[in-house]
Amino acid sequence: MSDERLPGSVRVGLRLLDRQILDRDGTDVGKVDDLELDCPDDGGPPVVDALLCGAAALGPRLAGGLGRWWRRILQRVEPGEPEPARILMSDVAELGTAVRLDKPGPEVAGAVEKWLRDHIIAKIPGGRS
Amino acid sequence: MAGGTRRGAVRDGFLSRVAAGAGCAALLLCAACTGPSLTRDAYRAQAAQTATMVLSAVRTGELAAAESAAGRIPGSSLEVVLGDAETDASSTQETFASRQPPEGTDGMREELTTLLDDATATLEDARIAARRGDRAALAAARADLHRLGTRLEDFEERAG
Amino acid sequence: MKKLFGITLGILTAIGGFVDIGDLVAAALTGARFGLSLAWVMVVGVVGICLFAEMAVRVTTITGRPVFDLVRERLGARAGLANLTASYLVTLLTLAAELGGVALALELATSVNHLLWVPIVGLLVWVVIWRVKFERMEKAYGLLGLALIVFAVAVWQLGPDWGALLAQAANPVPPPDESWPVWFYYAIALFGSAMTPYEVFFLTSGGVEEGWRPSDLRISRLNVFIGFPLGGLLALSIMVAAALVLGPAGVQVDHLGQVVLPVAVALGKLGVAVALIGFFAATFGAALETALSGGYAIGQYFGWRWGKRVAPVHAARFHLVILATVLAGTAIILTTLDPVKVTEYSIVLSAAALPLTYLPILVVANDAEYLGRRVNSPLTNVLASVYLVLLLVVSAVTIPLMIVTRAGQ
Repeated sequence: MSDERLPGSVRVGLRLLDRQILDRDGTDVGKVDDLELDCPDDGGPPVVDALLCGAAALGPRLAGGLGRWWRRILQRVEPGEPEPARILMSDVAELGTAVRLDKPGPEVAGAVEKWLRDHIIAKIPGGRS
Repeated sequence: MAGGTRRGAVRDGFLSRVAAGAGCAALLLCAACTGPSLTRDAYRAQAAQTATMVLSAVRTGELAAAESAAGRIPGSSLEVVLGDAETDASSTQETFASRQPPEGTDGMREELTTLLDDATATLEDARIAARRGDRAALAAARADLHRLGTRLEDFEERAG
Repeated sequence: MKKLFGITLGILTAIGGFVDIGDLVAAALTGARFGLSLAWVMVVGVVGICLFAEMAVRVTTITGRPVFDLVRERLGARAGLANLTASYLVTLLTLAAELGGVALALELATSVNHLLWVPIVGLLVWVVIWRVKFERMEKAYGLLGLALIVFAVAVWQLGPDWGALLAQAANPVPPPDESWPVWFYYAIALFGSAMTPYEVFFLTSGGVEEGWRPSDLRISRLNVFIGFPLGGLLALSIMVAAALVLGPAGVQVDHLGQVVLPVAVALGKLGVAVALIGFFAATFGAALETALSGGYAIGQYFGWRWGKRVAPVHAARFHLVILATVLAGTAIILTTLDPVKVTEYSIVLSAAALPLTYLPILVVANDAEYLGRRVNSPLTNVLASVYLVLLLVVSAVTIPLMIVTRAGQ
């Protein structure tokens, strides 16, 4: 990572996980729910590849009964293997009190959330304005 | 889960403790609602508390009726205040009636039961009078409530 | 001139918005039952809410981020979720109490049973949140809530012996016929009503909705430091009115209708009408705030797009949570639970949940990464530490006291 706005190494638990992600326009994207790490073959320290975002990423981090319960609910409402949104580290512009991206954020909402949005919220008068 | 891993055993222990705790809490709650009055002192204390609660309803009714006579409270609010007081009095009456009196308390029980009956009936009269806009009947109920208040206070002092 | 007007308007809104159903019930109940012997709790509560609200306001004006956003960052996903769950449930119960309060105020004005009003009130609350602009909504109900000044006027009209009142307030022991545990139980209820956690969720999220910048810090602080104490004074005047009229008559407050009786005695029908308007505005405004706070807390935990400043379709999850919250709050009151009892439980449970909200605020307010040189001053930290101990003690003893006193009987 040559970009000097990003630190070369970071304590992910303290500075990265659970931080707010904002896109180019300052719009809320989601939280850093989990990370995708790449372990180099030469045995060097792991490198953060991507930020994972969304309910499918948060579930596994809630250990124990709560986490199992979370995943079971998620599987019930969204059959198949729910995929979290991936945000590549190369799209990150700044790591501060929030994680800022240098492009529009990805769609994080799951299928159920999209259905509810399109069939309930958008249909109520005033929902679109 | 029996004979499972150590973790299961620990959890069983925890669960049974939770169950025991919940059981105790449930028993306490039941005792609070309908517990038999075992001792005379406890019964006396309950009688005093009952009198305090009904006194509150009676005095609420009296105050509201007085303000109505002076034209200082809207009719809609008056009806609601009197209706609430009546409900309070009758539910207090029911709760007290469900207690088992220990021996030697019959005199006290009879006195308080009469007071509770009168309080509920008078508050009912007041509510009906308020809804009909019958000022004379409301004034009569107010005078009755005043007398009842004095008697309840007197009872409260002797019992408490 | 225009600026001065803006400042005054903000402060007036803070005053009117301070009182909700919890303050109404707690102040009248304790005043009637314990005279002014619990007035000191009101002072402790108002100082506490000013202290922590100032920190929260500082964090939000400087960083542009609301409170619950930071709670998860500090506590992590799991502890943050536990905190969210507890905070949300207390807020939901408070919303139910507020909806019940609106319905009771309407019942007193129309004598139509409050249960018939509850669904209408729930629908109205949702429609206002859905359609009305944030600033307009907050100002309208805050200003209308100022009608509660009628209680202060009533106290003045009753012409009390001020010396005797002060003597009562300066003697913080239970009256002869009340026990210490019951007295302390109600002290906690009063404290919980003054420091209700949703107030800071709402205050800081509202700050983001209104687009606060660091230059707004001074005005927001003024609102907190002048508005909240004056709001507390309104609650205190309700307590004094109850202590003057209801206590001596032997009336214990179990219904909202009893709260209004001192105003009837002092000021007659017109006074009652103004008081009922005040009840309606205070509870309806608080219903909006609690319903929104439920959405704010959940939305900010998950990092969703939230708030009334974007079209609902862009913050669909936030609006769905609010819709569900309002429905759940309405359902709680429709079970025919007594709204006044629901209020009592909501403020006592709020008291038990206080550290969940205020501890993270204290931590962030000391974090130079966020606040730079605007971190807490040493004096603020000393005061806040004293309060933190107090909050933890309150939180630990609330439930045992509730059991011992059978919820204050």
